[in-house]
Amino acid sequence: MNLSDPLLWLLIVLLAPVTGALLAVVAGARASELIARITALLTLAAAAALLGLRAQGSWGAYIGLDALSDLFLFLVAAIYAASTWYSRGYLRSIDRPFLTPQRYYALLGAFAFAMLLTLSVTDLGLMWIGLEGTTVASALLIVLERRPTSVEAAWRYTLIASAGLTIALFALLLLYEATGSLNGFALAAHPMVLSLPLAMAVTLALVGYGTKIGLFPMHTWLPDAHSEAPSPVSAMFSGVLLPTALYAFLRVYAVVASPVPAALSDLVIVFGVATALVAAFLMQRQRSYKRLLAYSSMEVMGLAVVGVGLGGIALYGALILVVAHAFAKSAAFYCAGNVLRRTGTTRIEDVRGLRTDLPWTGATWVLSAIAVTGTPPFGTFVGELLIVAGAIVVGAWWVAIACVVAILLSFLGMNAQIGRMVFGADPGRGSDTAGPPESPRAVVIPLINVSVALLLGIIAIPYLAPTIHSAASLLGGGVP
Amino acid sequence: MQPDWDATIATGAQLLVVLILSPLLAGILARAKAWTESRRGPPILQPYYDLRKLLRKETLLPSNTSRLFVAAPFVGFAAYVVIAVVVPIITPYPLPVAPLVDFLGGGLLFALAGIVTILAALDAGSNYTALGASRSVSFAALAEPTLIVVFFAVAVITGTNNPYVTNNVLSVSTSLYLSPTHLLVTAAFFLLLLVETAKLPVESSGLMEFGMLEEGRTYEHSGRLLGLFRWNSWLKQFLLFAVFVNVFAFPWGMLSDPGALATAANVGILFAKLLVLVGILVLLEASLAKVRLFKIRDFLALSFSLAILSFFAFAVLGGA
Amino acid sequence: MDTTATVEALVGLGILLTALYLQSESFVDPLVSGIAVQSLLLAALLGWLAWVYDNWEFGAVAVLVVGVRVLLVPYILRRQIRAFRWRAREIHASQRVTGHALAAVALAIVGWFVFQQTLAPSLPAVPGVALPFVLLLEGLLMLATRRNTLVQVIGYLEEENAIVYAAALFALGFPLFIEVVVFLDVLGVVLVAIILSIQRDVTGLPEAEILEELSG
Repeated sequence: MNLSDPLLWLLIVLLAPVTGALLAVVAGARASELIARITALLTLAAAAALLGLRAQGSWGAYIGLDALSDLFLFLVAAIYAASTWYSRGYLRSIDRPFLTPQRYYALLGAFAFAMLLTLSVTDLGLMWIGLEGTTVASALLIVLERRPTSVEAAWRYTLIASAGLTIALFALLLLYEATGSLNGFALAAHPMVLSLPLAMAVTLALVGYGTKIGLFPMHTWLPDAHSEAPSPVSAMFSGVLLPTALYAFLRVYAVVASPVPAALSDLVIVFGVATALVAAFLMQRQRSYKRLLAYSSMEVMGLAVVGVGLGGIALYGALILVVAHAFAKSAAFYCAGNVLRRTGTTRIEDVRGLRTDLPWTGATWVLSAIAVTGTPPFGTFVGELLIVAGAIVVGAWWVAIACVVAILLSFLGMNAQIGRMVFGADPGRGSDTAGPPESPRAVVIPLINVSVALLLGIIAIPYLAPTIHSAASLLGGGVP
Repeated sequence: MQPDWDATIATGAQLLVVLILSPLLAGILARAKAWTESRRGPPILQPYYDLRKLLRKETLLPSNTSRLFVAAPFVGFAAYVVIAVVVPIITPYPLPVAPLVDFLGGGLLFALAGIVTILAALDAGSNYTALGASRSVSFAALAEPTLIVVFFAVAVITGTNNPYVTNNVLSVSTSLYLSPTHLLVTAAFFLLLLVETAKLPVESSGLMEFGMLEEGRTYEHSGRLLGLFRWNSWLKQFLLFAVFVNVFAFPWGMLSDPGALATAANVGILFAKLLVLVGILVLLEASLAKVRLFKIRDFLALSFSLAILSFFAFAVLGGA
Repeated sequence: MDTTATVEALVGLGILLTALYLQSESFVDPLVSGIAVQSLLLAALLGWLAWVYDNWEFGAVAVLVVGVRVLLVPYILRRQIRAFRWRAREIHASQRVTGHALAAVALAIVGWFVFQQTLAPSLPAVPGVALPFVLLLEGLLMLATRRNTLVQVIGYLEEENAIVYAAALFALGFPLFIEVVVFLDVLGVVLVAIILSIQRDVTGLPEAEILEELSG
């Protein structure tokens, strides 16, 4: 057995969650949890190995990897493992769950597998199937807590996401008609000059996959699903499902030869800017902290799409942003889960004084909140800086200004609200509504995740100045 | 120029056929409907008796009416008379005066007759007639565009805006007759026909109820004027039916010889076609309930949508 | 005009009419019949193409379409209607039929115009080549304007039909065609399953309160 063979690790990445899911169905409640935890770690280890090996190449007609998919595979595996390990305490607090633990872990594994499949195939049709599979696997997870609102949220999510994916499939039909192939890697290796049908295909793919990315105005499912799903699932939605959809769009977008004509890249940028701005404004008036986090994810995805549209160092920034955001936002959702368990409400105005009530969770939450809103020295800061810098380098001043406005607004909205909940005076809540007191174990996973986001920033910052410098000089811009 | 006697005779015959047979058609329709309801019904000639009675009666005018009130039935009558000689009713070839008006012009003449009736109703100053007028206008807002779109759609598929040419083209080309566009146009025109001639499920005529549209406008007219209005509505029904059967539904069968004998035979053929249509309508009236007044708009919207779709089908699916 | 073109034109007409009908009908029961008829028309076209081109994939998809969209899903939806009488009708839809019908026609024309401007030149000129795109838009319109969950499922099925129709008309040889259609149908069934298993299970908040909670 050759340990440096990427295919071996890829098979582990794909098969471990499936095996875990199948075993979890037949096992007992405790055993299924153990199986899920082990297989999730195994997936993470294999994905880390792929990343370490810088695996690339393709096997057969459908399976293939490159640096981008390695990165995203690692991301999905990491958040999947974190969510699986976080789930135990959270599941215990639900009094009448819709799913048994066995089915919960099985669906979680299937959800992860669908995303991992999306990220490890070369064929755009199969990629679409993987993304559609994420909808199928995750729809029932949203209903776990059996509230009528969560049923409505699951319904909206399934319906809107699948309607969007139908549009994306139509885009793939057009793409196939225009190019004669659906092999994303082969098409990207020989990109085509933009023709009218190809432009239509990419536009429809932007709208279709954009529904799943959470782009305005197709984002309407996003806050509902994120706020109604159980926190470990919300973390996977926000941290990795949205980036997976972005990845699928990137693969279609890569078919167009660079430089992408301005009409098309401007369209992508406009969608991104509108999403970021709308989400940042909506964050100001949220009454539920989980919806607040959901809109923050939408804002970040908007910025990432701007980065994709701008290309160059902004695309680089978008990738850093997405990776750092996944870790930071999942930590924020885990903390929100802890808060929900303790207080039993998602309303911001009913939660006060976490500093004394849940000191560890409160501290981690503040930390993750400033991490997701792009505060230095977190990785998100680096990503956002690169996107804004990329906009300035190409002279798109209005894009840069809009992005800065969105970043500042979301920073204000997020940290003011979270700060009020953590540091605000405790109005003296009755002990009857309070859940179990804080266990330090519930904070371990979010702390790890937020540390990774921090680490990413600390590693990236020293490289930042030279990168921007070289990129700017490459594009002929003067650096002060 | 030598007058073309055959054509002149044909024109006169066609006018007479329309004027004289239109009450008969209404009588047959009423009788057949009564028959489906297990009633004996009025005699077939009842419309003639009504007409004679009304024309003899004294005409009363409401105070404060203008000349329009009196002129309206005459203007309408004139419009229908013009239409009667320009559309293919008993001849497949154009009559000498046919170039006067094409399909669009015919639609406008129908609209003219309708609008003077509505103006006269408003002129009477009565609440009931005003109600009838406002209702018919609110429905006409959808019915008129449908009529025009139907005619345009016919013009698009047959390449002409002349009813005679349309008749000829459709009767010759089976593929055109069976084309999606023509089928949709025919369906749309049929729905429009039900609205314009006050048939179920749009209107249950003759019961003098508040849902009525056609008769709601002529409450204040009496005597000769009312008689003329009645005749007008029979004429309208006859003309629309004739256009429907001859141009849209069954364009075949008319003899193209110019002689008097052929013209007489054509009258018989036309009447046979009309009887088939009457049969269909009676079947519909027996099996449908009247829709609510507010649903009539939906009914018209459907008709309009079909008419538009006929264009659409032409563009998307091809003309033939 | 050869026979295949005639079949395509007739199926196109039928699909156009059913699309208009689906938009303007407000009762669920006839809507279910409408989508079944539309799917049947599509299956007929697929069957014809399978026979003419000797393409077993089309035949398989035709069987699949008949099985799932003509028989299975309508059957489940009808049972739902019987179980919940109140779901059989859209609330307040009677006043909107005119608007829906006209919006459907307007959308069809806009969609066709866009199609003519962008895609038409590069696609084969078969009868009804613009219709899948139009049908996709109509399905979206239905999803966006209707509140009844059963009707939304029907809108989704219409979108699925648009995909299969597009593949039949111009994306011949689309790889993974069957797999993709299977997945679409699986998702359709999952949608129905959500209604079936959950909405019966969860009772409580009236709709207005749910909307209040999920706003913003």
